Amino acid sequence: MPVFRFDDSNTFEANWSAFMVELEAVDAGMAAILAANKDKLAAIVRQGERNSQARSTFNAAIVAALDVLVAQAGGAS
Amino acid sequence: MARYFLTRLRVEGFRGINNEGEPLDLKFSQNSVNSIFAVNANGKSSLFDALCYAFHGEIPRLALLQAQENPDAYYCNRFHSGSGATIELELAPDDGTPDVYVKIERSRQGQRTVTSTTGHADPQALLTSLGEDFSLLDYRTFTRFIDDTPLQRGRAFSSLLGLSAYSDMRQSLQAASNTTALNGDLGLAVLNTQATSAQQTVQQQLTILRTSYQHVTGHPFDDVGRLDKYASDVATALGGVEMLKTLFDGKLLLDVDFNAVKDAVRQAEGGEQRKELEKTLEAITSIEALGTGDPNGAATEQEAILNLITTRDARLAATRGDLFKRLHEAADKFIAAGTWAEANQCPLCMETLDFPIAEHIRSQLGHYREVADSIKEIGDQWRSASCIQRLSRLEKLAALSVPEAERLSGTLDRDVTAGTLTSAAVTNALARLTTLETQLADKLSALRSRKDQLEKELPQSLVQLTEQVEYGRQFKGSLVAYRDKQQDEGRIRARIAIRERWRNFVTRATGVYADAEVALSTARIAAIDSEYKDMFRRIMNVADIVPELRRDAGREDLHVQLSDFHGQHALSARALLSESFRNALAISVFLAAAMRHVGAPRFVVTDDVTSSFDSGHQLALMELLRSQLQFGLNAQGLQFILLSHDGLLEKYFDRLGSDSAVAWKHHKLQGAPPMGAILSQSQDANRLKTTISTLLSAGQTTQAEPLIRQYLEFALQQIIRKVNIPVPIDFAMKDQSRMVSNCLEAIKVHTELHKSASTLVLDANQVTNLDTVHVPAIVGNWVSHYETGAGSSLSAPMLQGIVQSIDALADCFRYDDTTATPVVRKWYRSLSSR
Repeated sequence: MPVFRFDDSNTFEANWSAFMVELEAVDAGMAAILAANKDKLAAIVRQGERNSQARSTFNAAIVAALDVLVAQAGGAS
Repeated sequence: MARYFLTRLRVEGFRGINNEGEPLDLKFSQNSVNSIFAVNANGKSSLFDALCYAFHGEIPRLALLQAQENPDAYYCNRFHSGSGATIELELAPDDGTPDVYVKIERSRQGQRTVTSTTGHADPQALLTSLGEDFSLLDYRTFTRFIDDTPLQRGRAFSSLLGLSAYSDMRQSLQAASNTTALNGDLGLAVLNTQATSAQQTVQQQLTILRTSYQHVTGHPFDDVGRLDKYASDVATALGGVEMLKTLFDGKLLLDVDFNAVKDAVRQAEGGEQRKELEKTLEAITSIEALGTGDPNGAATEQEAILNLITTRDARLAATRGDLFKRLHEAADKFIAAGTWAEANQCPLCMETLDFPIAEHIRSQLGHYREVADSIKEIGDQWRSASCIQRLSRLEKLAALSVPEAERLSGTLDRDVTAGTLTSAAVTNALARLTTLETQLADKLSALRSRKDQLEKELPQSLVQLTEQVEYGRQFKGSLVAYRDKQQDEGRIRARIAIRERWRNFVTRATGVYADAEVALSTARIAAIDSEYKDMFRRIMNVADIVPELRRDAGREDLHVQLSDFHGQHALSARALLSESFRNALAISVFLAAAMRHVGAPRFVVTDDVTSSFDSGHQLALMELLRSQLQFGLNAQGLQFILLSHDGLLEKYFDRLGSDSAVAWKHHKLQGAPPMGAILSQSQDANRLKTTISTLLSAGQTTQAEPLIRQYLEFALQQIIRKVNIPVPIDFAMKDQSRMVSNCLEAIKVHTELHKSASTLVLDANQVTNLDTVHVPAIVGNWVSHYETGAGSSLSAPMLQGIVQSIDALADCFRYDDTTATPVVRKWYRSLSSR
């Protein structure tokens, strides 16, 4: 698998989309959760300033999404 | 793709810019360097904030405020009577297509509206595309590069390279994938404890199933996968007894009523010994159902709880009790309400502090939050610990007869909830558990002896049947418990598994992202290598000091070295370079990267980034911008808009801006923010005069006075500039409220000097008017009333007279050039020549 690289001629958003495509090959389910929570992720560090409350908020959203996934898998099985 | 120059900016009602009904209006040339000078607190940073808000939808320093500081309340000017703020941009595409006009409005409630009167299809998307790192560079971003550690510098450096969005997202991913944070936020430690506890219970039930199956059927239980068959075997074995047949006939084991079965056996043969045997068997099976204790596991759990208690106690030591907590909470609410305006003063004792009171309160409340987190962790660990659950079960076990008043588990549960659990109490609880385990073993041994005794005394057939029934009941109970706990464990393991899956995913994602980001910035550094070194050499005017940027593979750290330092190599730049050199390196990197980047903005707005340069290097940088990088002279160049409050630099801006042969456009902001208007002096002198006349005609002298001061300062500085009157070195740095008298003093000193030397070029009338009419009128009517702050307001006609005196004073330094046709009114070249 070729090493993933950002394209310097692309905008950040375009490179983020390419990164997400790369992650879908790693784990599509987890990539979808990350994509859905991008705004919460981006709030953790803004202008170089870290916000630990934003990290907790992001991880709480991830836990909720993971629990939904587990419940769906349990229901399906 | 078209790129955009910023050709006009109009702002009203935003931050420090009030300008009610008369927006601050700045026009920028795309072919010239544009400079904007303002002394501190005169609207310069508000302009920068306006562009930040236009492009990013927020002002970073407000966005970083806590919610209780209500940052949204500080976007709009607090003295503007309108409904909100307006920012208007005129953008000129570099492909010759028509200009784009975008209007950004923000209501007092924080509602943002973006429109385009020139009909741009998506003006918000256009603004977003203009919000790149290179379009706006502030002093904070710039200075962070200078003295930070390699790691911090690497982070700041991303902004200079135009990669701050990449850097922020990488740091976010790293924070989100941090092992410690993940364990806490995902609750993995608690889930693992719960899973271990459930697994132990499952194993205990399995042991009971094996034993009871063997007791009932006489066969070995050797395949857990055949549980349904074994349950059927138990039902068949007991249902085969004639007196029990009807109770088992056609039923699954789980549907059998064992109380009815025991009644049936009891009725077959009564007697006290029978009953005692039955009770003894019940007690034995209830003890056996508890399984055996796990001293090693208990010790591990005890240690984990004690560690958490130690952490909680350390955190508790940083707090000052419940009364202080309530005091800080009340203070937090009080300050968040916005009624306390003194940021550095304690509202309780009124003492002035070296730090904001809100920060202090947040810090204090943070200690209490940490204690609460610790208490929650202790509670989670306590409730999921197998040894604590076992203690509770043993204390409630009828066979051990622990009086309710002596039971520890209930008391300790309350302590855990209250956050008062002590290490001594935990140690005591584990000691109690050990004691109960010993008592339990003794009790089981005694019960078994008694059972053997009773079995000898009772008829063998019913003894065996009673025993079989009891073990059959136990098999049924354990089967239910086994399946329930197995499901519980499965659910917990599934939650752990998906969290582990997330952890692996986000860790890998972070690695992939970080590698790609390092590669991108390394490529950008390599691409601008010769450019930034060349710019550095030009700004610093040195050839034998060569900086070198090096980024560690796979790391954020950025090292700044000197590949050449007067013939020596590979030396530390931080150790050897002065601040000016380091600043020059930072700006060289930024400009080299900006010049190479091809994004939507074709302009660069900098806010005070050159203030820390010494004056010689400032000028070298300005010349580099003007002659090499600015669009116009350089067809591939950018448009530069420089904001500065540097008084010396302002003189340079002013000189270039007054020289028609030089591509330089200069604005000087003056006014009375945040309550009054801010105007650009160079552009707005006529507008200023018109506004003054309008206000005075309407009798609005209070509103006209600050504008008259602006007009007076403009006119006097124009005389000084046009006639080349020397001014003292500290002229521009003196108290701005004294600017009028500073100017008059400079004019007076030099006209007197030339008069004494008989070289004054002014004619006799001009000298007389200057000395006896205009200067005395301005001094008498303005300086003595307003600069000293001692006078009362003048009437509108008197103020109108001052404006006329200003114009007449300026005219004393002009003459009619009769060599031109028609005759032209010109400024004297100097005080001694035309």
